[in-house]
Amino acid sequence: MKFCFMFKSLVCIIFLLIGVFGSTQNQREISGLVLSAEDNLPLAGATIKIKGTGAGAVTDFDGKFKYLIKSPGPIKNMVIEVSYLGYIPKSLSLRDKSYFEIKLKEDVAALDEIVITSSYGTKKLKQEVVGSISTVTTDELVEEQVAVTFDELLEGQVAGVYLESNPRLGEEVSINIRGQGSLTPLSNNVVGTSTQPLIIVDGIILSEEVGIDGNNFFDAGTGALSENILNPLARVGVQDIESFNILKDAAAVGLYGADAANGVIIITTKSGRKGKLRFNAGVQSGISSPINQFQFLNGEQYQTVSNIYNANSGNFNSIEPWNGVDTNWFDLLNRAGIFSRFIFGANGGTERWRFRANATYQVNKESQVSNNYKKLNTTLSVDYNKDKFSASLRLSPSLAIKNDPNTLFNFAVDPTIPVFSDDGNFTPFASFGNPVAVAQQNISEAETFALLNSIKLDYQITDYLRATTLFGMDFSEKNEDNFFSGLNGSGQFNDGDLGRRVMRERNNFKWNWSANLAYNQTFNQKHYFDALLGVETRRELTDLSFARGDGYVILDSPQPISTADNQDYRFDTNETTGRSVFTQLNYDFKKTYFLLANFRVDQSSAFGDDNNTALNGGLGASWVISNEEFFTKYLNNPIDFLRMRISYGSTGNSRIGSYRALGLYTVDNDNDLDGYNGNNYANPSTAPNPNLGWERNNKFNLGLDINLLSKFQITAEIFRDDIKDLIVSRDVIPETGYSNVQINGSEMYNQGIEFSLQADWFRNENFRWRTNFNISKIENEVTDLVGLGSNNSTAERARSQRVGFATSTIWGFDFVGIDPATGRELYNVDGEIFDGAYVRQNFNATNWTPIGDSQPDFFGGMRNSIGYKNINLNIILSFASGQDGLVGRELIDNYRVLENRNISVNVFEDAWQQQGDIAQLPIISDSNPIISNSSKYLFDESHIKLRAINLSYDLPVDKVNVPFKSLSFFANATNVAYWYKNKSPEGKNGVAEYKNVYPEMRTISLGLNATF
Amino acid sequence: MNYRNQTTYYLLFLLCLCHSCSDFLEVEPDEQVSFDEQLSTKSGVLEAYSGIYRDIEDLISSRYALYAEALGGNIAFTPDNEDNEVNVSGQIADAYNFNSIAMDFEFEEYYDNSYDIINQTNILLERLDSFSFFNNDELNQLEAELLTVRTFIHYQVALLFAQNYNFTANASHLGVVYNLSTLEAGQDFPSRLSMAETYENIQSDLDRAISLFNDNQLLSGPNYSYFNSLTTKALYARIALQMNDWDSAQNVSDEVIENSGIALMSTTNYISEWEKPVAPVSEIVIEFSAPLDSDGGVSSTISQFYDYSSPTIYAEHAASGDVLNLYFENDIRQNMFIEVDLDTNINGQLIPETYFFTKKFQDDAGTTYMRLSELYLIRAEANARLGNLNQALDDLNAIRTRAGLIALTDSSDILEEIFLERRRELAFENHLFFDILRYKKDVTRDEDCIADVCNIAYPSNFFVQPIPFDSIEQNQNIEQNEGY
Repeated sequence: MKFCFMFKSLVCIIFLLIGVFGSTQNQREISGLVLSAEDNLPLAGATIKIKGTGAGAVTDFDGKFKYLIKSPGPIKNMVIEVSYLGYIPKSLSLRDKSYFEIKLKEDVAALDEIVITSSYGTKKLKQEVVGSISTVTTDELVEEQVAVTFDELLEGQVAGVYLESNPRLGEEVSINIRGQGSLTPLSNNVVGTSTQPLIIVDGIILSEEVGIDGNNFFDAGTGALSENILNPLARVGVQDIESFNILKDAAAVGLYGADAANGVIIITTKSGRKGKLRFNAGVQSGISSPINQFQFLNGEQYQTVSNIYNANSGNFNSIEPWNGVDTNWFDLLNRAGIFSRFIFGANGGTERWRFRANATYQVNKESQVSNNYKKLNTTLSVDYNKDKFSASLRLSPSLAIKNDPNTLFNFAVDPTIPVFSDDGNFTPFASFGNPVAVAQQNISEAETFALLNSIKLDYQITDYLRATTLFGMDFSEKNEDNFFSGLNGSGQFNDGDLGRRVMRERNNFKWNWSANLAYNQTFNQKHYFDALLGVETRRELTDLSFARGDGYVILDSPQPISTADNQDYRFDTNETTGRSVFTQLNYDFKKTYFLLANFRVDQSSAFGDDNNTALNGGLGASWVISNEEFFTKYLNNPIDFLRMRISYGSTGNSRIGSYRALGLYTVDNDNDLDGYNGNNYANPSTAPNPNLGWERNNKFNLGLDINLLSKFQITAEIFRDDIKDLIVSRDVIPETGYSNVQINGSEMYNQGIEFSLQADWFRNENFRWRTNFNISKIENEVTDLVGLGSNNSTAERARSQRVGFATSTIWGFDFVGIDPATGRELYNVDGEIFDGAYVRQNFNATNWTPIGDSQPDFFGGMRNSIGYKNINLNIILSFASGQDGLVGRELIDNYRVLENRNISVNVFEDAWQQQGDIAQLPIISDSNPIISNSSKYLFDESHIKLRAINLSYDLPVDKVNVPFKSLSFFANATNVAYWYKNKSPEGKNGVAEYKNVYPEMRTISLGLNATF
Repeated sequence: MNYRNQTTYYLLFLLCLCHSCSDFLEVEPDEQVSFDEQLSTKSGVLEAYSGIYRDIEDLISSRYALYAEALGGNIAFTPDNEDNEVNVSGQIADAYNFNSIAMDFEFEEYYDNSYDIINQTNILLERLDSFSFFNNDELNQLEAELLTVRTFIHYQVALLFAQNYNFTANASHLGVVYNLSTLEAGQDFPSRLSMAETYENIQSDLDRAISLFNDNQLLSGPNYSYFNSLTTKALYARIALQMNDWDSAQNVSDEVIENSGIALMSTTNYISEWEKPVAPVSEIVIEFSAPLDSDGGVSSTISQFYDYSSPTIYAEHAASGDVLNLYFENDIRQNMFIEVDLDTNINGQLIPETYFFTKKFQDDAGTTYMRLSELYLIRAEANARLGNLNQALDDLNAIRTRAGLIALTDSSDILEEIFLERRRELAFENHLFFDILRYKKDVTRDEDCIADVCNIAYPSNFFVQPIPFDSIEQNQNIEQNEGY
């Protein structure tokens, strides 16, 4: 029996073996290594499958694999498929090889799948996010672009986010998420409620650079002696940013309560990666040239125009022939600039420790002579984790130096005056100075040292409960040094003083600390539940100082202010504190039905005792329709993913000046004798308003997400933000003793539609093409204004607060043309035509009509990323349509400037000269009425902007013998071109030139990046 | 305690730490101090009170200083430094031409600043009870001064923005908004009182103030630069006269003249007293001290309107021929002028013309508000109006004889004589136009008048400034002056 059994078994095995190996059995042992293409690090756990069989191997910790292939057919025709989560899968045919080194490329789209939903450590898979959050990575935006601050990269790239760029390097850019969050201020100096989103970098709440409320000296106003307000975002290095998450609706921003009305931008910086120590280095250099340069009259034209002006103005003595001099002041002050950037960094890590360090230094020698901007961003990030504990540290010191003494770049003076007089010295110009001398002799430097720092500790208390605490700090020190040399007119004063030096200092220290508990648990594998409960405190302290000295003996270089004949010193301090408790609850059922609730209590020192607490909250729900059975049962359904989202909630805006609710005295108690009989003194400066409270912004959002054909990802959203209790500064009756007071006195709404599309036309090993497109439309209307007085700005600002109109409306008089008979301006006021002089005499702000709107009707952008093998091409566009801009009249037809300045070349041909002329500009004389908000100065700024083109080539380092892990070359063009709807006439100025008299720069650069 | 518990406790601790500190949110600004904080200490209140005087000085030495002079006809404008043309100075052009418009005029700021000062006094008056750091005497003195300031400024507003008291028989015409307490912006919408009511309020404030004064001066500085029982009575006399309250004017001026211890300047040192560069004349009653800069030098002075420094540096205002013609032979006040020839563009030709700059406000002069001579003239006029002609003649002659004029014996035209004497004696001290109104005279400006209209008959809507548009627009309770 035993034998029998053994025999049978043997037969069975033999049969089995025959069955398996069949007739002619081929076999080959293959082995190899799977690496990440980006950094050549081994990928552990990558799968190697034999196509069509389901059999295969998995890589070990070192990324190695080994497998014995047995096949009845020829092995060389077989194909293996290598895949790893988050990487683009790769297929290879075996041919005759048995050793494979396979490099996988990161799949950016796949990494997108995790969305960071707050700075408190919450994140969700993309399909589980209830709120409206747009995510972009720096990679997609092409970090090689020439930019000073990261916000520039976002222009047109995120649905609903509108950026007003500023051609002056390092100065403020305004970011409006879903429209303007507050009323357009009517005056320059009122420190309005912040209209900017809350920006959080690795948990650090960034500070804003604003004036001190109620202080009419440190008011961040404009003027020669005013502070140079810079963009605080410069302290975040573009190269250090991993991704941007832009939180837009109530479900998304609700966790930020009273700071979230204008949306929230959460920035995550890069961290170190596990693996050996690696270095990266990059160098980039290029040439900048001004685009859309303003055209002035040349010397001969200027003399002609000037003579007409004098003849028409009755100054017959001033008429003279052209002296033959043609100084192109504008050209003398503008040139080709140079841009360079150097990057060096290192990163690495073990199981427990990871670190990354990076330094980026960039220099923009601007195309405006003598103006330049230098910036050094450094960063160190260290992450540690052990068992249930993790910690991370971010430390980013930065230094930015801006020097722009060339203040007269757009102040083209009389072209018939030579730069140098006969004695070889600069031709003197009273009061403003010889522009070239000013650019060479003056100093206008702003140096900002900043330190961003955050420490985060995280402990997994149980499987369901995690505690996190974070301390963030934003410290900065800005020193401005403005030197008006006594050698030129800008430093020569009427009282005989020579030379002026103004030094300002702004020290800002803001910290925020938060602690939270996060809980999550799944019940019955269907009910997922998570909750967050946290507290936060914030404090911001700003010290401002100012010192001015006039009158020096040594004129060619700045001297200590203490040696000046006349000295003036001022100081002020501003402090704001706040604290909050916040919570968020998430629930989902079978990953199909999602619910979210946010709640936050905020207190701020900015408000009166009665109103210093704000409660805000939001609710959101989403339904993943594509997870429903009725949906999945259709096999050929082209829709991969379909979801609806809805949310509603309230947010606030607490970012107003610190002391608005208090009545304030301005005190001078430094015993400096300038009070009555030498006594110290105090006078009230701000009216008390104990009823002042928070602005409220109620947000509604309805969203639809569709993924189609594995190619297209589409998101469409409609939203409405109702903004109530807007803080407005209103004029009060003078009998109160005050001129204005801040009240919660207005309501408005922003509503709109956003659409964004991501199309992956091709996505394979050799050819990739992705297009991102977005377009948004936003409408605004002021719905209520209560109480008090006047609500019109100066004519130059052309703003008005009126119910039933957008707050972005531009108000003024409707210019109908130039009277061919007289050459004078004609206006239409209430259907009747009047001469400009009559309008100026008899009408005022109450007769203004809407002449334009500074908010675009729609805006958006598109970027294309095309990759062929190792070559990548990125093209980034933005567009906006229907926005108007009111241009300053000085350079258009304010002929009085002709007495010492040049004017637009258009005047030469377009101005009225004789009876019957159908002219665009009025008679050249000094008697034209000044109507600054004439629709004549209004231009439609609709345009498409080619923001950047970037072409790069990744050298296949494994094929050539170079000591690099990666090496890529690139060519970049930034700010390439604008196409305006209204073209500028040939050789003359149009909207393109008027819009930015400080010309924007186009920079074309070459560079390389390497890791080793 | 295990690690998990430790973490929990740590978090709880931090939670408490952050949320138990109740004054974390009470942040106080530095150079800007909240009302509560500022007025919680003695020095803080004194700073606020000193700030009020600083603003008063600023108000009275502003372009207002030219008002009664330019409108009344004492001013000749001087040629421009560069083109030598004679134009009305921008300081006062609209008012000089009786051409102000409510939307935008020169004295809008004067109106606003006046109510700013009134508000400042009311802020302090409303908190007097909480000033426990003052003793009773100090508190009474503070209250008395604040009441005086409040009434003084309301009077100053009435001078420019309401028709003179005797414009209607019973002073039932519009006076000014009289704030007895602070107004809350957006809540309170006051209306103008009648002129009679305005004066009732003024009197009641002044009576209370005078009853409270104990002349315990709170801040350093000369006593004539603050309100005290003497200076307040002098002010009372001036206001009473302007308000046609002859009895009070007579009584109070009498009290001041008799008890002040101040004597009239003598004939011999009359001119030299005025020529002192900084200090006021010896007969000063009220002078607001010129502000100093941080080094202790005078930073701005009323002489900016009248001074003559050099052939290229001089102010825009000199004496008109009209006023110069009033100084007869022997009048020592003829020597009160710096005579200078300045090139003047007359129809395109440069011709040297003689200009007369007053010596009253040269160098670093303070803002003279009242001096003893005025009180003599107040008492003279009050007595004349009351029919006490001999007393009136005595006072008038005291001023006349000092100036070198002969004493008058005939009282038949005494009111007119007093008017002329006031114009001569108090020239450039900002009285003329207000005197014209009190006398219900026409404005007649002859020599050196370059206004569009030089002569306007009494009464005229344009003898007052318009209430600023900001006030009318936002408050329907405010009635605009007729004609605007």
